[in-house]
Amino acid sequence: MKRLITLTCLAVLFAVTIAANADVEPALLASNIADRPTNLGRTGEMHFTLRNANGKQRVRAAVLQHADLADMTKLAIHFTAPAAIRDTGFLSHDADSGPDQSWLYLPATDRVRRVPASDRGDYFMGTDLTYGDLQDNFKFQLEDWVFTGGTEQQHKNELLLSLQGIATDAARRSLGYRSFTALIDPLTLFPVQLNYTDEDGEPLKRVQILKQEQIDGAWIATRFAVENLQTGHQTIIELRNVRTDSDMDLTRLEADALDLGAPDLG
Amino acid sequence: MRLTLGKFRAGWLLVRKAALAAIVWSLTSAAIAGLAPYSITTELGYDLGMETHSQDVSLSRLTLQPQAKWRLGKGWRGELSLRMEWADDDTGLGTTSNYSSISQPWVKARRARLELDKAKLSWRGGRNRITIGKQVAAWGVLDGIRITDRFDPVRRRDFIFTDTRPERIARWGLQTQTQLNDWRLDTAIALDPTVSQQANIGDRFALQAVRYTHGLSLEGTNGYLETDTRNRNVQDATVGFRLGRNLGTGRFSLMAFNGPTTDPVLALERTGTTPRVKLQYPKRSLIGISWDRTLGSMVLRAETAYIPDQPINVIVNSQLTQTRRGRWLGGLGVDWNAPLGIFINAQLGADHITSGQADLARPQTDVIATLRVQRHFRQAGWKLQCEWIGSLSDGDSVARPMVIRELNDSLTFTLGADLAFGARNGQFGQFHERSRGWARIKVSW
Repeated sequence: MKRLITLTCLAVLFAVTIAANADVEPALLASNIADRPTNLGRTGEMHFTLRNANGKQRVRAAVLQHADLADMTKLAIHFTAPAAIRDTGFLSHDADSGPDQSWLYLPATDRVRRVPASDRGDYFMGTDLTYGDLQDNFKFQLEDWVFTGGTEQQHKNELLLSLQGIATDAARRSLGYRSFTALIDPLTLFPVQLNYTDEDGEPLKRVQILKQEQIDGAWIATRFAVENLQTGHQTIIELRNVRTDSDMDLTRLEADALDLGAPDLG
Repeated sequence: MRLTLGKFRAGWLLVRKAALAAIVWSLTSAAIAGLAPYSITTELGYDLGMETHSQDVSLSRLTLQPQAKWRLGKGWRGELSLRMEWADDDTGLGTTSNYSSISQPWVKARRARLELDKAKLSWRGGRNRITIGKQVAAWGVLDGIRITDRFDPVRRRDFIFTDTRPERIARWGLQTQTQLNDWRLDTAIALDPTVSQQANIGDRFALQAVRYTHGLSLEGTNGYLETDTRNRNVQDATVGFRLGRNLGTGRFSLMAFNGPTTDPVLALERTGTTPRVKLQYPKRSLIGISWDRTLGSMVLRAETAYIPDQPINVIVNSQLTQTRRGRWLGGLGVDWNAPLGIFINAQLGADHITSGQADLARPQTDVIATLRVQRHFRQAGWKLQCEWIGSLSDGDSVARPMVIRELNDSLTFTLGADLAFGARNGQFGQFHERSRGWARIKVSW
């Protein structure tokens, strides 16, 4: 909690500084985004709407559990719809240092199966989000990017900060991105709009944050759209009933509990 | 002694009926009390297949599987699922004599089946869990190659041509899971002597190779393959434990269990002047270890098991008889998220029977390899998959290419082929004339 308050104060201080000084050092801006306050434990419903270039639509719904621990981020996704994938569970343990681990529970097999940790550039369950996007939570890992920008820009009657990143050689391949340009909300430190290019530098994806909510002191993007500019496919993600849970039952984020299915959100 | 045993059986029957009644009562009363299931899923599938050799329609099967799940208070959950099948084909729905009296399908006509697939109540408190009811115990880390994964009986009416492999059959029993510091202990008891289901005589995947039939004619059984009566619930129970712990980015497990063998032995019985062939499933023990580990974009898996008392058929003076031998099983596997979004699963397994005086009816050592390659396309709306399973010792194999199209959120269409190659007496080659192309449509809601 102390960490959350400190980080929130820093974010407010940062916003005040921006208001006074206009442009900021890109590295400082990136660092503040990376340190953006998050809740230690978070549970909610996740709704995906997948739409192809012809307008054909598919939907996915899942219950998401997320815990930011000292040395690891744990993420469990329990699908609740459509019926064909209901009760399918996915769990990842992303270690800050060391290899990541993932597990999948398919109800038909009655078994929790260790699966290879996905590359950050692999796409998640037919959506336009990569595993890296899911892990990243709209922060830019400082070791992955060389940052430029930091200038003020007017966007729909709002003063936002621009930030650009060029992926390091090591990160380019695993992320599947060569660069990004983003417009950052100085108050929430969330990118309002984000464009990625692919490894060849061609425009690849546009991300738009459509709704942000402050939940227990931390800003969360609760509705956002990801569009693949090369295929025309779009994914709209909406988080509902999000609640923070500092006393989260962490045993639910272990492989042995994945077959239990989605936790009761009450 | 007979009286005592009789009383014990009667008592056990009463306990068993009471347990069944308690589960059904709990789930039904929960439903009546207005506690709606939090999840109701129904899957309807139709499979149509044509043999490439004869061009006959060899598969025409409709399957309906409704399932409901309840949250029944703090830590309690319930699950009930049914399996309804109708088949108008020569592949058939498999034997029913393999089922114990308590697990017999409610409807078991040659072309139609209705059975309780699962019915279980579970309670979880912290890291401890207890589950009672009709359930499976899916142990082991390899896929389809059964090294330590021999607790559950399986369906073999489609040979190995199934989506989920093995296709487990749930049994009545009790399972517990307990976390003891870094160790996890699983215990399981199946008080239900149901054994693996086979294809009936004359059905498309009735075993034909001499290694399985031992040269015996299985005709004259009215098309039904007989299994020894399965009503000794306690004597033929399966009991076991698994103890595991995490080691770095891997997990190591040690397990042991005792119960009816998953590989039947044949017995000749003379009723009057007519000899009859029966499948028997004597009990045996298994001790095994399994290990899996994440290594970047790969997962490595390994298992080994020893069965000291595997029941097996041998030929003595040109007569088929049974004996027990040691049996070693071992397997290695790797999953790899290869570049370009391709997923590869490769496995190698060996099955060795120790030497003895009499000749074995099966080869002393079998070596099996499997390879599966798959890739999703167009936002996972399409999936291409090809699977190859082969015997490196016999030189025969099967290949299963398929394309899966997700037409919308509830409708999936699959087109595929089950192709067998090799000699008539090989474990895969025996079905080389049964190769088929097939289509499947599945609706879920």
